[in-house]
Amino acid sequence: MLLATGMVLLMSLLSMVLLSLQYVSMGEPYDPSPREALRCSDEIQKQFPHLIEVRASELIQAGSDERSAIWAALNSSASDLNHHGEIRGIDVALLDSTVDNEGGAWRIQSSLGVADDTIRLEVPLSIIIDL
Amino acid sequence: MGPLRSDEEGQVHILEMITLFWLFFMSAAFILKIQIPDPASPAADAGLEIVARDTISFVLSDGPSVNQSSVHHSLGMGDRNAACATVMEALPVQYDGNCWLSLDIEWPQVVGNYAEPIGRSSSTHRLVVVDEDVWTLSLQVWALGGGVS
Repeated sequence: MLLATGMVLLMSLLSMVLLSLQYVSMGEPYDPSPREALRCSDEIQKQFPHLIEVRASELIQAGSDERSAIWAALNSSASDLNHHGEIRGIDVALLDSTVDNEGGAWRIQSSLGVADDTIRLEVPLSIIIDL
Repeated sequence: MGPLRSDEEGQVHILEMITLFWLFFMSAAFILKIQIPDPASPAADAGLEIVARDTISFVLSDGPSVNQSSVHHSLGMGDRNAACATVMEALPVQYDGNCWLSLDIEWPQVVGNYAEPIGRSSSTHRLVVVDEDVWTLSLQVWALGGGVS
């Protein structure tokens, strides 16, 4: 009786372990490809200026002053891009952002940090927008 | 003799309890399914990854100019079904897949009917900025007929 009980217990535990591993995808390598960080960095660099300009313009039309609108656009974009990175399995962050007014136009400088388990990139971003 | 019989009956109940627990767990395991598009893995089938990446690149560049594809237009209108329908139509016939979309800080949601992958699948993600929205377009593909397992 004890042997039978032990066998059933062993089988149940083994089943739980196998199914749990399968469901959390730990049975297969989970690390994202190193190229994914490069691709993500490239995609963000191409689309970042348009995103900031459109978001800032929307906020200005809603009544914000220009500097506040640009900062709000920067912060919301940083949050959304960070979440995008989470979906892809990589870390994305906007670091050391600055906003300066140069003769009516706004210069936005930031560092785009993209990292995963094997690679860490820091790319300078510099855009000028005239709102 | 009396106490010994009582102990044996107790063991039977323990055995029944464990067996029932195992059966409940196994039943729940078949009913509960977690749907998550995995990040691209270095061990993934390169063919699947290339198909997914090419499909997304094709549909996003299929317009009169940059950022004016039908997918951009559909996402700009908030029409997720149309955007994913365009992606799925561009998938080669020997492959099937699931299209996932996430807006800003949403978690990805499968658009349309979720299809259970046959064999191994590969997921590709792409950042798509439309106006002030940050979309994450994810395509999970697998080969029809079993693929690589």
